[in-house]
Amino acid sequence: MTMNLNITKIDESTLQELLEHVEKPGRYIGGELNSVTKEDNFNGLRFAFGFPDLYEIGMSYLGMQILYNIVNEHKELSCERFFAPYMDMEELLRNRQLPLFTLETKSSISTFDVVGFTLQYEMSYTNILNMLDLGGISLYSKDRTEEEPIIIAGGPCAYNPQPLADFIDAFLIGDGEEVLPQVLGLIHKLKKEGKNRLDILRTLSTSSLGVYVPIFYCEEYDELGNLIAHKSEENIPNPVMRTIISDIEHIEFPTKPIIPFIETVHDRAVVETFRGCTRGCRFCQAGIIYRPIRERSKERVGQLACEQLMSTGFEELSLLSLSTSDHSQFEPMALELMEKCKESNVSLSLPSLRLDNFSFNVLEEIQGYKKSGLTFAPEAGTQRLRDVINKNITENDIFSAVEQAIQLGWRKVKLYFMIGLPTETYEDLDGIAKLAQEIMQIYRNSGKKSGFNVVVSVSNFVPKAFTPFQWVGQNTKEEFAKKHEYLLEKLKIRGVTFNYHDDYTSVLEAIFARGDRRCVKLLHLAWKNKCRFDGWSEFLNTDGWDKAIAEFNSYLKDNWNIDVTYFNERSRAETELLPWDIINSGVTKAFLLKELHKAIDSVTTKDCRDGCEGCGINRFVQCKWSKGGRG
Amino acid sequence: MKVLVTFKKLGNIRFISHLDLQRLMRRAIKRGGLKIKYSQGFNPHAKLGMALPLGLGYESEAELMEIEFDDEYSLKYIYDALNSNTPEGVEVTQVDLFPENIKNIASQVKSCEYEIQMKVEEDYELPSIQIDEFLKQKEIIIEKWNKKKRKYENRDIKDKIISLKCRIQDGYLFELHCKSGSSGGLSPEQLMKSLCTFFHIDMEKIHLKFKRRHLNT
Repeated sequence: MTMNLNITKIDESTLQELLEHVEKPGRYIGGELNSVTKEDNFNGLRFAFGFPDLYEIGMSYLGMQILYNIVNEHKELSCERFFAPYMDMEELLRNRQLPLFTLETKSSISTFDVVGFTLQYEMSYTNILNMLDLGGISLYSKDRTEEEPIIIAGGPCAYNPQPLADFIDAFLIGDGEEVLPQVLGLIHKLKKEGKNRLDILRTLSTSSLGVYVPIFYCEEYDELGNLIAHKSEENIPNPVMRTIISDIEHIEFPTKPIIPFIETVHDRAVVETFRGCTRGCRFCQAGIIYRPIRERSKERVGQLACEQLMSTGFEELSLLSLSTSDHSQFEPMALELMEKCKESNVSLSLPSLRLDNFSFNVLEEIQGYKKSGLTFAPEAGTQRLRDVINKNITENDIFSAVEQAIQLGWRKVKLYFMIGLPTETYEDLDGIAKLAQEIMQIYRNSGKKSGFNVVVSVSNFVPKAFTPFQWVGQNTKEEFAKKHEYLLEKLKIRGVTFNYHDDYTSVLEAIFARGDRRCVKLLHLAWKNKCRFDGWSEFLNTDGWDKAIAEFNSYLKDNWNIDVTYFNERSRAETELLPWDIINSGVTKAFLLKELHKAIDSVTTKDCRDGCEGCGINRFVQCKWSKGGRG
Repeated sequence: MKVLVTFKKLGNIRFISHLDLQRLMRRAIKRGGLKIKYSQGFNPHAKLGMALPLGLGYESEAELMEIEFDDEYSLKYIYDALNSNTPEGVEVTQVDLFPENIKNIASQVKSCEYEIQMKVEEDYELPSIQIDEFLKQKEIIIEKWNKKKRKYENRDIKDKIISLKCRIQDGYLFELHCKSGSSGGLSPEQLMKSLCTFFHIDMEKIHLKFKRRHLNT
């Protein structure tokens, strides 16, 4: 059913009625402390920021808080929020032909100048289509009229924008803090000058603001279905260079974040300590696309933490980065924050700690009684495979940390692994079981009688764009299932709990992570089959996806004699043109390829801090480690 | 020091739960720079308690909350600190010293007063309501969810109703005074359901809005 476009705003009495009929009305009320509503007669550019998942998830995402704050600081710009409505609210909106609305002014998202989505994970893509549809906005970029908003998107998944290329008018690639307000400001200026959609998009595309406008490009395939060219119109950048903020110390960071009324996933103050990572794990996309490493000083982190705690009253503080202990001032910073938190009855949470002596001392201080779970991510079961993925953690690291943990009274260890990694054999799976078994043995040898539990959590490897493994094929669903069964048998060990991820989701994720523009069709079919919230195992509609894939397969077969496994299971040739070659991440393809070859030979690459490996990022921005290592 | 705070919960903030409201208050206290007392032991928690949880979607004119502080403040100071840190819809109306002879406010609630607004959809003709007829029943049965047995059970709540009045105002306006506290209370929603069944009112055609007027201690 199409939405009634005449309704531009949900009026108060309608809103009350909607809220009385949904399970969690607190998701939709807005009005939270530090949320911003511009004056009634605001006549600047109106931007609606959409998070394609539930409120509780979206409000836990720091990036939205950062960008919301930055955009609203501009006098001529306004940012409002909207989220994917839960099924009960969607049904009410559709039955009453009411549009999806923002939390601040309860306006239909179709009334905004610009609507933006953040792309954090592939499994939220169907929600984007659903949200556009609920807003009464044309799904396809080519169908949008001058009256409709310009649809933009950014975030890590924008690095392979192709599966969404027909739905999004412009992708913003790279760090958003500086670029988003510039792009919005530019659109505002052009609109005031009376420019039409196409003119605006063309100007954005050539603005050097890291903007990829899909309508100015097309993909060409040969008769076998292989991508052979990224064609682009004249004067349109090809590839599009990602934007990089060289210094994060001085960029805006929200000290007055929005404080949700209802409980969210991460209901706490957060300070980003650094961006990027020097470790070079070969499966990790974040480790490449956030290069180079950029730190906030210990002083700035402390100041931001204090201001945020004062202005929010949060009872927990957390640090955010890819590998917390890697901050150059980590130890003094952690000690200072610990002190501050203790004074004000705030609990401190330090995710992804490297487990050395210092960390144990810190954990002892901050967690005290709460010795529930200690987490390791060896990712692979044998040293050989850990060398392949360049995960720099040894069995001895794990065993000595576990030994210490048990002595200190910890009663649970969680181990994270991936299966389906390149070159993996069943010996590597045996290695997972062996690790769990040996940890239980360490507990038994310790003489402790408190009870001890090892949780082995296994996810399925999904090759991602802009990683050394971007050429590697994913395991088939059957291979994953067989490996899960094998591990189920092997991990029948007293005291060991085994969890694993659903393979259906991993397959879908892999299709969209490395899909090209033809996958637009699959996404649209799935949405038409009522697929949404695909990342929620309880909502994943496999029937809908099965049907969509079957129809997509016949389209692929008729045209090129291929099927959907072309995108996820197939190993790609090193010479092949990749769908995301249209984007320049700053890291060279040659570096990724070199890393792939080293992986196959089980040769590790050292941490950037121990010497530059020549990834190429310093051609665009100064990298702290490009002139040699810390030794 | 320990205080008893009276506050309103009106407007859209009625859509947040009891636990959400408690969290909101703890944060407002922190932002206001007031030092709340924490319990001792392994799992310290802030000493803050509400008299009687308010249902999701209910407004209230007078909620009661007790707070213990580590420091001493004037009542006016606490009043101001709270009011400048609560969001729209939550308004503190009174701060008193907590009476010395009682342990906690929750144990003191004897009865509650509610106001229930029944609005009617335009195309629906509401059957007339003779409230005495309803109250004259030998027993007034509501369905109550039994958590242990995981099923609905019938329960007579006639003795929980102290008074129930009704007048015509924008539909119907009900005034309910009912027992509450340790002996178990009464859900106004369930009572209205029972009333609608009794008078053959189609619940799909009406809208109910609940507001707590007063907690009697």
